[in-house]
Parts: sequence; structure tokens; C-alpha cells
Amino acid sequence: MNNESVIQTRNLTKYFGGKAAVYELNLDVPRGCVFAFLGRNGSGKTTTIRMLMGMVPPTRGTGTILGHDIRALTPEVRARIGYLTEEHQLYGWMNVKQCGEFQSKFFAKWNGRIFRGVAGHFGLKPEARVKDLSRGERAGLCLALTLAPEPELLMLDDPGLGLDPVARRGLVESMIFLTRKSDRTIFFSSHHLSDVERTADYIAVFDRSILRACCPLEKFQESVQQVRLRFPGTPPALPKIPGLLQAVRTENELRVTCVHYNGEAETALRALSPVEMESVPLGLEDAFISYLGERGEKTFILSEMEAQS
Amino acid sequence: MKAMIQKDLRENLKLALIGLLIFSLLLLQAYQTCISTLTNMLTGNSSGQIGALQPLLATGLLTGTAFFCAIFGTALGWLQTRNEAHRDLWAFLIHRPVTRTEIFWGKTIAGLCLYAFGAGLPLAVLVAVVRTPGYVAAPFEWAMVVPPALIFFTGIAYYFAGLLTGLRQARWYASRCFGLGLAIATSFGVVASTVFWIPTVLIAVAVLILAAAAWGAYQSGGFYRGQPVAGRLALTVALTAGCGVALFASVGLLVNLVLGPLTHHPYVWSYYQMTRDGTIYKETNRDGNTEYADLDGHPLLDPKTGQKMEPKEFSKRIAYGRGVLSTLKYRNRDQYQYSIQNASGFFSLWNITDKTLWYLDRHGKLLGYDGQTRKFIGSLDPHGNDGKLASEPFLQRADSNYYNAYGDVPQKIIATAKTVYQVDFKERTLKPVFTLTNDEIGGYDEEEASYEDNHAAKNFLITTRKTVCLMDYDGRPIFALPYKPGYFEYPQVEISFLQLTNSSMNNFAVWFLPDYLMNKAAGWKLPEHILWIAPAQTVTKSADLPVLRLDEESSWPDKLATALLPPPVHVEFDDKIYKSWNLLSYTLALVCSVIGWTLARRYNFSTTASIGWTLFIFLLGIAGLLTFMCVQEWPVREICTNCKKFRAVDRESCEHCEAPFSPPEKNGTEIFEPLAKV
Amino acid sequence: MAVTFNINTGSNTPIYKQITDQVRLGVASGRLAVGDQLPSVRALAEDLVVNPNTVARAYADLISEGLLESRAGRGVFITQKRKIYSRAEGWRRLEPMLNALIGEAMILDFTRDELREAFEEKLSKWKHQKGGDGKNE
Repeated sequence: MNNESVIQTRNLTKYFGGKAAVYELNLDVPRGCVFAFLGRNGSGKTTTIRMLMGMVPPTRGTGTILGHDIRALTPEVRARIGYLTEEHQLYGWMNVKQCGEFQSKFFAKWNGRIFRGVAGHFGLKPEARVKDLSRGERAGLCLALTLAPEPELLMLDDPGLGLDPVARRGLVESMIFLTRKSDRTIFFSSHHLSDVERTADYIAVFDRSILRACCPLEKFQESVQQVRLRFPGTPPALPKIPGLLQAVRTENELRVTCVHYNGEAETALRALSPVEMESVPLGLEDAFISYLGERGEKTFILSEMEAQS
Repeated sequence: MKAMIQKDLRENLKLALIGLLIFSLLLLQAYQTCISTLTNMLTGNSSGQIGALQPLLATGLLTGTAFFCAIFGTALGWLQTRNEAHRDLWAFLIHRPVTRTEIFWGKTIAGLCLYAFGAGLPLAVLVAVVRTPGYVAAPFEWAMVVPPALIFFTGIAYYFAGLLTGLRQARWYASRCFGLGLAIATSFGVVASTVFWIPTVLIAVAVLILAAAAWGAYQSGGFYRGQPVAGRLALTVALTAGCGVALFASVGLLVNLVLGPLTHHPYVWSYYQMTRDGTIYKETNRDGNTEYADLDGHPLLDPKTGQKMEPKEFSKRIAYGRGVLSTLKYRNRDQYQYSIQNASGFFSLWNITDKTLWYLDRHGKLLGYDGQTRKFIGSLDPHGNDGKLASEPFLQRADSNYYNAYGDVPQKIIATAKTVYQVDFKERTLKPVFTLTNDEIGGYDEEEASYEDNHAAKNFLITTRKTVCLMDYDGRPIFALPYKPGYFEYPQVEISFLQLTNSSMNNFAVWFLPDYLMNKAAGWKLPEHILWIAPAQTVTKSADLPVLRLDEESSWPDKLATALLPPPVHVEFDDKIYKSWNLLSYTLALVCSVIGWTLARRYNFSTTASIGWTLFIFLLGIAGLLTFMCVQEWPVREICTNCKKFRAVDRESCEHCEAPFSPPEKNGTEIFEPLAKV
Repeated sequence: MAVTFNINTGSNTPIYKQITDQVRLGVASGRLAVGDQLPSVRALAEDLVVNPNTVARAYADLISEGLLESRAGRGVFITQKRKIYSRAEGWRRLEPMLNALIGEAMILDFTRDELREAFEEKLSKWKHQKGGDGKNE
């Protein structure tokens, strides 16, 4: 029972109009991990989460969450999932205490200490009206509401969005704290790679509605590598290299970033007979940017640029 | 659920309070209008609908209530969902361990409570005020609460339509509010009905359908797909009504505003008029121009000028007349009418004397109200004025919906089925004038008095089962005729008071007018029958004239409009207008159903669903096709990589070649590794 | 705790590696002595605000290297330091740092003798700690 995937999708697809927002997604999220869901804006992260939460009907494909069909989530399953939406929307007329009271009436398991603790962590006063709260405070309140029922699966859609560094640190601390319960799974999407680096076991990377990567965090970081080649003069034209992400040519240097830097790629690069050649590991952020940034070759050789113009 | 109700009550309380305030002011204003109508009538220089004397039946108040309930209900329902339509707040609402049905009921119960608070409370207060002596100088009975209550309940249909509109996801934004169509149709049905049970059933059905549709929308987040069958069915019915209303309105506008003026169709209406010398002329109105001609068709000339007769001149020559409608045919039926527009179903204003209003209620009782204190002062019946003794009911006079301050001089007589009484309102006594033994009174009316030439009423016309009789106030017949042809086919009898001149020796002319519906059924073969009567009570002359009917020839825009109506309407109504272009109607329905069938096949509906929808569209014509297109969500289609044909993206495999969709194309940068449990 | 861990996100070095490197440095510099207890996985994770699995992985690497040992129910301790790298491997690890040091010194215009002198002086300070008795540092 403990070994099943908490989230599993098969060919999950969603079209909006004629465009696929999520295309043929196959995902398995093991229980007990912290799973980061990455990708650029509009690449399908939120749509995927909304489909998983039964908010949007998939165009085709199937999915289960905690072993239940996402098209028909029962109240019992929902009680076990904490869902934090992207924009931290709440009823503006309620105050912090009323929010807690409202939410608590629906959940059989409601831990008021957690609610007060998290709310306190974000400096929320019980009488403060939701509409007067700052974005970060609202996020804190939403987090408190999400955590208080002690869900076994947390679905956090960009929880750090719009938060200042202090509030974001509070969020990351909360997430670390939550892993105390070993079979609790946290599934979150984010643009803050430093937070991801601190928290995630696994990451999945979405590239324009398609899942491109799904692996342990370090595996991703290790897979994206940069090779620097130095030449006495202008670097030669780049041969075809498997897994190429980016290549930058300057006066006498060629920087090649690629995935799975292996024998084949190395041989191809050595054939260019550079003076010097070293492979440099990249930080997560650089790796991510190279991975999702513009593909292909860029030139920074002034003479060539001038010649072209 | 309790938390849900509390939350929604609190959230929308402001709107309900605003509604309460607006509606209270509206009712107060309508009530004041009623009171000022009463004051004006008492001073004797104002006419008006008698319904205005009882606010519960006043047209203005009911119209205001109808509009308020519709708008308030819609706004409440719409805002209740609109508040949470932001997708994240919606997610916050939906993602909790309760079923969507519970959420729906929580919201609905709160919404209906607020509706009852905003719309029901002011009405309840109004009823309480109306019942309290000293506020309204008109009879009250609980049945009068029915019309406003029906309007109130119609608002619930609007409430659910509002909920549905707020939630519905649709490609055509306008079609989101098509749910309102059913509520609007219900409103019209309620206003037009004359019996109690029809609007009740209408409202119940509409509320049930719209509630089911709104419930279904909560199940699926506003989509058609993913709803339970009941929700889908209800949504379809509701949208059918919406499309019907939208189509009806747009065709109506098109015909009236665009095509109508282009194809001007003259409005012709003609009827018989009798001058005081007993001659019958035919008056014809054609686009506001009036022409007079004798029965041979020669135009009538003014003897003074030799020109065509002017209406002003002609009106001086017209004989005074009075008509009596025999109610014998309906006497044993319940005449009780709940029609909202017709207060006379409850009472008529018999007379106003000395600031006292005398009403004849539907039970045949004469009830007096003091116009100044607005209090009940007592009832009058043949056995005295204590009102305690059971007595024979008084008969209503015809058309008593309107009080005319200038024409209706105080009535002197009142009749039961057997006896005519003269009334002394000052002394509050009744004096029998005339009693029948072996007969029954069908209808009666007094001669019209006129202030203009100081003509006082001297006699009254009375019809029984057997006779038509003009009588003076002492009960002496001036003339009596057998009622022939009988009251069944000729319920309406009119008398024209003539002047004796050298050329005309007749005192009166009596018209026997055929019943419209029976004449229509008889193919318009029943003529108008006229008798001329000389002072010696002898019939000197008789004539039969064919009835004059409205020209029923319709213009082509009207025909086009009817042709857009679905085939069943053409089968149900076999009027000429529907018959004229019904081939077009069938053709249109056929074309629409072919389109529907093609769509259904293209998007892979099951055979049963395809046939069902095609049949549905054939029955409802254009509205059916519109509904079909509104209600369904149409998936995008793209070319299958395997068989190169278009296939819908919402299927797991290609409908033509069963090939699955191709996985995302690989570009060599994929990083995948099986994820172990940590 | 004699070692203050310091984590940088966004660095080229993954977090688990930063932790192992810092433990190694602590042992090498003598700040951590044999028998010293390291914070528990959970405590260090919450202190550094990183995923406990990352800390656990770092500890596991060090345990398999023989630098740490886990005593059931009591925690993680520095063990007898064993020679864990071959000579060649040691050189491979040392070389980039030497390159960096010399390169930086050249850029800053230090002479070879100055560099040699400074190197000797540092070495003499580290000498008596070879026995691992450097808690007073």
C-alpha cells in the first residue's frame, strides 16, 4: 500500500481551444517524496495540477491521485489532500480566525495548533481581515488552512509566487518541517530554484506542454553540463552533438552546454582539436535556464557579426 | 453544510438588504399610487382600473413585483456563483471533503433564505397591511395573495437560472444566460394563465428543471460533459427554452423593426354603426382614416357640405346604446379567475356614493367600504344589511374591470337570478322591482345616462333564458321580445335608443350578436340579427348582417416568422397564418436535423444519441439546432498521423483507424530516471 | 558542534556535496575530532533548511567513506580517520586547488619565494595537529 504512486497519470492531455496545454503526460510520483514541478510560465504546470485535483476535466487520458480516479474524487480522498492554489484566493470579508473556523467545520481531522502555529509564523493576527492582508500574509493563511487538516498529500501550486524572501523562507521551513512525517508527499510547482534545491527529492520539467525530464534533483543537475573549449583562433563550426542545448562561440572560446555529456559528444568535441578542454558542472539555476532557454548556437564574434551586417 | 449555509448567508447578506430596501420602496410607492387612485375616484373626477383599489391586485404593483423578483432572483443567483467564479476561489470551495451536491444545497438554501428575506418579507408586510382595517378600502380574501405569491415563486426560477448562468462554461458567451429563457417563458405563462393550477405547475416544473440544471453545473464545474443524466437533461430543456425565447425575440424584432416597415400592411377594421334614425352604416378604419358607407357600399355624404362624412359629425348622429352579456352559459361553472391582469375575478366596483365604495364580490355579495376611513362598513343583501343571513348572490354585470367616473352614473338596480331590486344606498335598503317565477335572469344593464344633455337613465335592459326586455324602474316593461336566437349562440344583446322622426317610426333597435368562438367554429356563418321596434312594442323590421371580421390576410414577414416556428406548432395551430408557409417550416426543420445528424456523426456520438438529437432537432427546428450547438462542448479535431483523417482529440484512439495518439516527439534532451521511494 | 555548516544554493556544487566537503574539511583541519557527534539528520536539515533526505545522503556518503559512523539510537559520530583515497586519487583532487592557488598568486604579483615562504609557514602551523589533537583551534 505504501509503495504505490500517490500520483499517476497515463497519456493525460488537455486542450484549450485548438492548443494542447498538457500533452500525453505520464507521471508517477512515489509516496513520501518532495516532488518539484518545474517549467516556464504557460508550460502546463497549473493545468496539470488542476486536472489532478479534478477542477478541470482532462481532454483524454487518465490519472489517479492516492489511487482514486481524478475525474471522480470523493470527499474522503479530498480530505487527505491539501491543495494550495496559485493565487491564494480567499473570501475577502472573512478574518483570519473566521477562515480557520470555516475550514475546520469541513474536516474531521483539524489541528488547530498547526493552524495557529503556521498563521503565527507568518505574523497573522486573528482579527485581520483577508482583504487587508498582503500577498505574503495571504499565502501564509492559505498555507495554514491547507496544513491544518494534516493531509498526507500536499499539492502546492507555486506556493512561493509573489512572496518576499522572508516569507518564502518561512514557506520552505514549513515544507521541511512537513517532511517529519515520512509518508507525507509534497508535490509543488515553483520558479524559485533555490527553494527547489533545498527541498526537492525529485523534479519534473515541463517544456511547452510536454514533460521533458523527470528524475532526482542531482541527476538533473549532473546531466546538464557545460564544456569549454579553447582555440588559438576563431573556434571552428560546431559539429552535430547529441543532447545539445546551447553553444556560444566567442573570439577563441566555444562553450557547449549539453545533456548527457558522454563519450560520443566528447569524441565529437575532441575532433575539433582544441588547445584546452574542460567540463564544468553547472548550478541548478544555470542548468535549468540552459535546459529551457533558447536552443542552438549563438555567436559573439564581433568580426563575424560585422561581416554579416 | 451548516458552515456552507452560514458562509453564503453572510457573504450575500448585503445584496439581500439592498434588495429588501429597493423592494420596500417600490411597494410603498405602488401602495401610495393605489391610495391616490382611491382618493381621485372618491372626488368623482377620475377613472381607473378597479384593481388599483386593492394593492394586491393592482397592475402597477404586480408588474413592479414581477420585474423586481426576476431581477433580484437572477442577481442573487448570479452573484452567489460569480463571487466564487475566480478559478482559485472555486478550487478552494470545491476542494473540501464534502460532495458537490452538499455545496450546491448549502448555497441554494442560503440563497433561497436571502431571496425570501429580500422579496418575501416586504410582500408579507404588504399583505399584513392590506388586511389591517383602515388601510385599504377594498375587499380582501386570501386568494388575492395568490397572484403576488405566484410572481414571488417565479423569482425562484430566476434564482436558479442566475446560478446556472454564473457557472456555465460555454463557447458562446451569450448562450451562458440562455437558462434565463425558461424563467422568462414561465413569467409570461404565469401572467397569461387564467386558472390557478397552470401557473403553479409551470413554476414547479421550471424551478425543478433549472434547479437540476444548476445542480448539474455544480457537478461538472459548468460543463455539459461530466454531468449526471438528470443534469444534462435539465440543461438541455432549459437551454431549449432559452434558445426558443432568443429566437422568438430576435425574429420578432426583425419582423417588427426591419421587415415590418419595409412591407407596410394596412390595418383595416370595420364595424356596424347605427344612427338615431335607425339606419345602419359600415364604419371602416384604414390606417387611421375613417370612412362611412351604407350597406350597399355607397359612401355616406354629409348633407350640409356634400363632402364625405367626418367622424366628428357622424358621432353626433350615433344612437345611444347598451349591451348585456348573458352569463347563463357559465353560471354553473366556477368563474373564479386568478388571472393576474384581471381583478374582476375577485370583485367589481358597483358604485361610489357619498364617499362610500360598494363592491360586488365574486360570491355575489355587495360590500360597502368607507372611502375616508378605509374601513368595512357592512354588506347589503335582499334580507337587510346585516350580512349574516345567507342569501341569493347578486349577479355581476358585464365588463366590470374598469371604473369610468364620467360614464357610470350611480347604479340604481341590482339583480339576483330571480329578482331585480332597486337600491337606496343612503338608507341601505333594497326594494324588489320585478321577480321572475319560471325563468332566470341572464344579464342586465341600465340605460346610459349622460351629463352632456342631461339625460337621466329611465330604464334598464334585462335578458332571461326566454326573453329580452326593456323595463322602467317601476318594473313595467317597455317592450319584451322572445330571446331568439337563443343565448347560447347569441349571448350578447345590445339595444340602440332611437329618435322618432317623420321618416323613422322606431323607438329601439335590438342587436343579437353571435358568440365569437362559436361563430368561428361555425365558419362565420352566424349573422348579426337586428330587430327594429316601434312604440307599440311591435317589431317593424328585422335584418341579418354578416359579421365583420378583421382582415386575416398576413404579410410575408409574419408568414416568415411563423415559418421559423417548429413543426409541432404548425400541427397544433391550424390557423390560416400557420398553414400558409408550413412547408417552409418542415423544410427548415429537416435541414436543421440533417445538420444536427452530420454534426453528431462527425463528433462520434453513439448511434442512439445521434438519432435522439436528430429527432429532437426535427421537432424543435432552428431552436433545436441552436440548443444542440449550445449545450455540447465540441472538441477540436486534428489530423490522425496514421490514417490522415480528422479525428477528435477527446478520444483515446482514432475513431477511424483505432491508432492511439503519438507520444511527444523526442529531441535528445530528455532526462528520465525511475523514481524510487525515498 | 565544532563545525558551522554553511550552505549555498545556486552553487555549482550540489547541497549534499557541500555538506560532505565541509565535514571533510572539518576533520582535515582538526575542528572535528574522532568521537565528535554530528547533529542528527533532522536537526541539521531544519537548521540548514534543506531536505532531510539530502542531509541523509551526505551522511550516508561519509559513512560509506568511513569518515562517520552511525551508532544505533545515539547519532552520528566522527570515526577513526582512515586513509580513504589512493595517492593518485589524492593528487587528482588536490591539483585543481593548487592550480587555483598559484594562478591567483601570480595575478596578485606574489613572487615565487614569497609564496614558498607563506606555504612553509602555514604548513608549520598545521604540523602538530597531525595527531588530531586540535580542539583548541
